Amino acid sequence: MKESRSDILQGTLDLMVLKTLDGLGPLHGYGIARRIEQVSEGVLQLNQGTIYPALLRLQQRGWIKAEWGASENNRRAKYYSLTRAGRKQLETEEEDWERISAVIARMLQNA
Amino acid sequence: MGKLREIAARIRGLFVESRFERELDEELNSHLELLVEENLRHGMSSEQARREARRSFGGVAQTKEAYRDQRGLPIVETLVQDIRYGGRLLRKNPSFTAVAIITLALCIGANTAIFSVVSGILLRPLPYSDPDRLVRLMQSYAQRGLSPWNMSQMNFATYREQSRSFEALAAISIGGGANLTGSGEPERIQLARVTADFFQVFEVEPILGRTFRPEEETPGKNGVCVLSYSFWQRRFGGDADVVGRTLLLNDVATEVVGVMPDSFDFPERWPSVALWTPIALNPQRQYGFFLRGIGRLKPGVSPAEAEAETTAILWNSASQNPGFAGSDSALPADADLKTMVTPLKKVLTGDTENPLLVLLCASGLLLLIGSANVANLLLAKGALRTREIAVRMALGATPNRIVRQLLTESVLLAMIGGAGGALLAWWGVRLLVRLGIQGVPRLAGVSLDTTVLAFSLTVIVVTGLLCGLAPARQAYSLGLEAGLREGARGTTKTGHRRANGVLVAAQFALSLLLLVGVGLLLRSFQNLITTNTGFRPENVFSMIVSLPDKRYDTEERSIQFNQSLVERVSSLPGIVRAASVDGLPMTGDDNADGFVVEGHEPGPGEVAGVFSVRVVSPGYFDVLGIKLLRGRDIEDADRRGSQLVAVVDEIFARRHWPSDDPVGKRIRYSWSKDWITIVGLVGGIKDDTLGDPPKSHVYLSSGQWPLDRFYLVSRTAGDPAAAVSAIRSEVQELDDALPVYSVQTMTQAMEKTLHRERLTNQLLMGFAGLAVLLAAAGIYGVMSLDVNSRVQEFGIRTALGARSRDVLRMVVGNGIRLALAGIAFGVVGATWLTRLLRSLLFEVTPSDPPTFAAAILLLAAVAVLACYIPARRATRVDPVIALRNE
Repeated sequence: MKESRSDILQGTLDLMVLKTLDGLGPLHGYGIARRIEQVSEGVLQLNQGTIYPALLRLQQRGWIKAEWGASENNRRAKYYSLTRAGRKQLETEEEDWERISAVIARMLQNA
Repeated sequence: MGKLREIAARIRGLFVESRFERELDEELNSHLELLVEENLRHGMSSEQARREARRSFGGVAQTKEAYRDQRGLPIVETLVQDIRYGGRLLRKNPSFTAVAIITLALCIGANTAIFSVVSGILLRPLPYSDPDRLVRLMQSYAQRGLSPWNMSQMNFATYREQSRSFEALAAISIGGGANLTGSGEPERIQLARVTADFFQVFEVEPILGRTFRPEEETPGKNGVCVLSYSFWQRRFGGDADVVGRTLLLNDVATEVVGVMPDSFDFPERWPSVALWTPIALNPQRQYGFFLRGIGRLKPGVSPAEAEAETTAILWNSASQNPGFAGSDSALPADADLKTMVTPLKKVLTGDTENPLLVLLCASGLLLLIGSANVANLLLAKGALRTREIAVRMALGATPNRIVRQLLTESVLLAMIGGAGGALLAWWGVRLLVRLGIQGVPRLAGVSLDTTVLAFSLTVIVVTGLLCGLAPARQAYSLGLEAGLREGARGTTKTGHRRANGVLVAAQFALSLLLLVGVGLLLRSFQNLITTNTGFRPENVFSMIVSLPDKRYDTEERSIQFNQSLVERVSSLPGIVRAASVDGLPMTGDDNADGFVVEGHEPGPGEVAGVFSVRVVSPGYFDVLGIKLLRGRDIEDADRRGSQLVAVVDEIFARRHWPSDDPVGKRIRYSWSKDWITIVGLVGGIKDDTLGDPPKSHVYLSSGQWPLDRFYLVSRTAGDPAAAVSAIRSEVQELDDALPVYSVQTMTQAMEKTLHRERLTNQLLMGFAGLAVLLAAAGIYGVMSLDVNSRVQEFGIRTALGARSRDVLRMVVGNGIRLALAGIAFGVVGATWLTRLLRSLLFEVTPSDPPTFAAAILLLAAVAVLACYIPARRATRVDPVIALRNE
């Protein structure tokens, strides 16, 4: 497997989906996948399909909700948006992430 | 929180499958379309755009699968799949399924029902508080034929006063009944005469009123009674005002002082006691042995210690006063005189223990045979599936998945069979309880034992699991390729066949055990019912008449009533002859006393022999069909004032005068000086049960010895039932306040003594039949499999010139060898095990050769038959087709 195609941790993908929806508002699966690819500037190349089980999991946990709407090309598409619980979850996960990455950054500098 | 919601959502996901699938398709399609459009915008050709879109999306099928895994609960889904698949397989092989399920259900059902009854009777604690401390106290004097021996009033009073072993000791009088008159129909009720502290022994309180006061066990003050709950409900409709009411019992006014709770029933017997009334105890009376002690031991005192203590009291009292031990001279030093303290539970269980254990063993054997059968069926079926499993493994099924599926199938089968078994067990227990078998105590409270059900289920299910896994094990050990090849040929490994063979042999061995045991018991039963009783029971029927001593207060009056009743009934149309007796054979009604024979007087220190005494009216021997061998019958002239006469039976005569004619010899009661002259000799009869050896009888004249309770016995020309109402009205005409009860034919009375044996035998026969069927099914299954797997071989043999007779002989021979091996083991086991049956057998030895031979022949014949069908199939193999298949 190539270096650049890092496997993403499940929790990380969840966090990225939540953050994307927080920043851009309601989006369909395609939009979310594209957005993550753009932001990662090609470092993360996910199979876009893997996003769907993640979207389902987040729905099952009540952090995002889905509604059918019309896409740019006028097809029916499922639009996902953050719920209130999802917003709160995002905040805690952001804090956790920052705390842990700060720790790891310190470790890497000092050790 | 989120996790919980996820699980809930997953469970929902299990049920809305199709909508999910549709929406997922639509969503993924739309995603792909968007990708394609974007690629087109970037200037790709439509072909290129589509390919690129698929690449960046990844596998659609994998996504869907991952999505589905996320949606539902994968474990549940595969389980549902396995169950569906298993169900389909079971439906596809209906004969296999039916045989397996019926086997399982029958074995589990029979075993559980029988074990429930056994544990309900033998193991269930008595329904009294701290029941292990309850004991029965009786005496024993084996040399005088008194074992067990009831106590006299003096015996009881002495034990109660001197013994320190008991917290409470009460006495109950044997055999109690009374005519209840006054309000409503005259009725014969069962009652128990007890000492005042009887209820304290059981530590039960009445639900209404009180129990007895200590002074109420003295003569003149004992006109009170306590009602049983069921009698209170039946006769008084549960009226709470019953306390204080007066009943007429044998014309004596008796006041109701209390009512016991529904749960209290002692003595436990059929019919239940209607009421308890105090004994008018006379502690000075040293004769008349009719009491049994019921005691509660002090905590920490064992029955053996209590027995030692009371035996010491008995010896001590008897040495000061021989009458204490029912003797008129000093006790010999080696007298085998003692008390017997027996745990009450043992008393109540009685002699049912042995037959119950035999039934238990039989049903246990059946369970084993059934397990072997299920194992065999599953192994046989598994062998045929080696190929299927190999194919599935080749297609990527993980070993885990396959094992799980095989397990699911076995468990499915076991569960269906188990459910059937539970149902059968429940029904069987109800049936057994409802039959209310005569002579089996404690049956009423028996219920289905769930522990036992669980045990039987476990045995069968574990067997099912182990054997269900066999094909998977084989597929593993063979490896994929071999599995495919082996399976393709449809043959089975020899190791497999050996396991089947061992199971079949085991089945035959166990079946032989069962057959021999059942055969012995059946032979014994056959001997019992054809045994010579010494009387002719056909067309004889009896009823009991009981005279209250208040109105029949003189001996003349009783004798007068007896004579006129017998005369009037004898002259009724349809009655050949009628007579009276105080103890009819096969009713358990016995009366025994010590007799001294002139010329055989016991020396000093010796005791008089004890013999059964019957007081009979003229014609009794005629009515019952007892043969008069010498001298004459009792006659009307043998009345009060004339010479005392007796008729003895040949057993009595043989004992005292082996060569002499007994007529003209004299005997007397050991407590009396009056000599009784023997005027006749009759044949011996079986008295208590058909199995016991006949005992000595002395018959006295009812004209000389008054009876307050007697059996009216009649021989009819035709149907006895028709005469009953005519006799009743004769009794009413003589005395309209006398109830007539225990109306039954002699045949019915005999049947009752056999009831338990008959039922036990029927159950055992059922078990044996099942065992043979299962063994037949087992050998049939294995031989069929064998033939199927050797089709080519038979083809070749036939092609090379084997005649169908040779093939037939070969296949049947193989099967018979298995069966014979099993039978041989069975014979060894049976000779060893049937010794345990000895106490239940009547005139049959445990190693009865005809029984063994019959069992062996039957099983061998079954084996031949079961092998013949597959063998026939082997002979029909067309060599051309068989070889082409290769």
